[in-house]
Amino acid sequence: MVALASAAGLSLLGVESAQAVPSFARQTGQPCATCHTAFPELTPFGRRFKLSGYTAGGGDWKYPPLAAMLMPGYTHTRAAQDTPPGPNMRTNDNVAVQQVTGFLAGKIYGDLGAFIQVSANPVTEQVWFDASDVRYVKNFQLFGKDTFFGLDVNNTPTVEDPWNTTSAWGFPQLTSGFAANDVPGTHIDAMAQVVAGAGAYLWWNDMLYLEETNYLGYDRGTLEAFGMQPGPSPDAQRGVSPYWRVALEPHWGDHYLELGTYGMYGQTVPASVYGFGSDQYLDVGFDSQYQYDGDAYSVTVKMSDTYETQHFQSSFAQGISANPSDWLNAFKLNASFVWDHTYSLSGGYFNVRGSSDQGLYNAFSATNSPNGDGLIFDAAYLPFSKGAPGLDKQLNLRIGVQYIHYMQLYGGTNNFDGSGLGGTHNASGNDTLFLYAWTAF
Amino acid sequence: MDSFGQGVNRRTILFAAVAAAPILAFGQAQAASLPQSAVGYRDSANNGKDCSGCNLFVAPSSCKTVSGTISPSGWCKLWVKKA
Repeated sequence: MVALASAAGLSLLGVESAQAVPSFARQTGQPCATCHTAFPELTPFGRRFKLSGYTAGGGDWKYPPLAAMLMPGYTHTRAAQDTPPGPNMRTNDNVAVQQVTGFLAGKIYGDLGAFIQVSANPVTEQVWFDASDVRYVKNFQLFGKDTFFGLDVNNTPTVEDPWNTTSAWGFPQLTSGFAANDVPGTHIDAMAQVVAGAGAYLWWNDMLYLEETNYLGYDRGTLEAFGMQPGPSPDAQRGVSPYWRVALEPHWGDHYLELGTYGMYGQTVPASVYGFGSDQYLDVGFDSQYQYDGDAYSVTVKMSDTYETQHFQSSFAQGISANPSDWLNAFKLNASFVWDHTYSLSGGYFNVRGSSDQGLYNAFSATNSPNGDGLIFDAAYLPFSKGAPGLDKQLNLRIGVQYIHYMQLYGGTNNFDGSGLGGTHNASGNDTLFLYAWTAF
Repeated sequence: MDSFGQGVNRRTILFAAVAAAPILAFGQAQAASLPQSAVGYRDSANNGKDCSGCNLFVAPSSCKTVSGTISPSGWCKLWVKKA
């Protein structure tokens, strides 16, 4: 319930991450297309720029690495929502700027680099400390091979990850902040921007990635200070939550294959109600990404599967969950094709399966089920990836259309919550058309 | 009261920021460079493009971005036309 509620909350608030930062272009002297197939998806070099600490230079920019981003869009759901998704909004067909972000992104000093975001949602008037990481990276030889050793501090598990398979940067990197119901998320998803972590990684021989990061949850005052709108009794994270990551990326010419695993363990005290112990979550995931990055076009195929074991010591004792233990599995398979660094087509399938639990899912599901699956399509035009005429390194733009089709939500297709209300209480009623003009400068 | 449920508070964050300050003080001033293996560097030109015609090349044999000895007739994925 905790992960479910948190993930749904994040989705509704439009707390999404986005990385397509012209300050990196100004620092490196490179066009956006050097690091992005279609932003924010990274190229092989984009991953290495990130792994080397955001500090690589080459450009003539002498000022602080500041940038900004604007995310206006139009959202249409197949059925109108029961209530408007935000203040002064309608139940359907909303035009809104869902996010404005300021970045400090690039080299700070020496080998210290940062990707720090502060975002605002003009509709909800929320300002929050968005997904960010700061890293200090040393480059040396280990067993005769080039090696990066990095120390990283971040507030969102996987924001530091260089591949586009894990939760912070996985497909779709952009969705409407004003859509209706969505599938439940895993514990890793729910920890976005509500924890602080410090860790270390090694990138050896341009091939092997090893990382371990330990997270602590914020207390209520810190959540409030960082704009996370925690309410009177937010979930508390107990003790240290370790996150781990191993990935191998062999490559042959312009073909890059990644195979990896990741995981996180966390103990949550629901609604900060102490005295019942805690709920324990163990996420274990496997991912793979194949990427061809050529001069004319790129193809990227990504897969991830996260299996979560949930032990509800506290929730079960308090009657929040009906079972002492549950499981949840989240699977994603998607691909993108980008022609001439300018025209992008993406498509994907997502699937969430898990234990039926009357306590956790009864409010959403007539069958007490978290199960859901669907398809996502996205077509985008990126006119300035190779440089903007007259505004080179100053402007990046992604104009796109996205459609999300839900085949199943909370264990049902029609009337999944048993309310008989129709509309967004049918899975396909939540299908979402999103037109966006994602602008960074 | 559960003593393990403290989490991160604002004082901890302030303390961490102060503790991180020495990293800034001891950081090296020169630009971090990428190893040649990370940018697909090779000693020969690619379709007529070589390092001597690249905006990042620093004569006689180095680069603003890539570490080590760079051949003027070499090439890598970061090649950008000399301004």
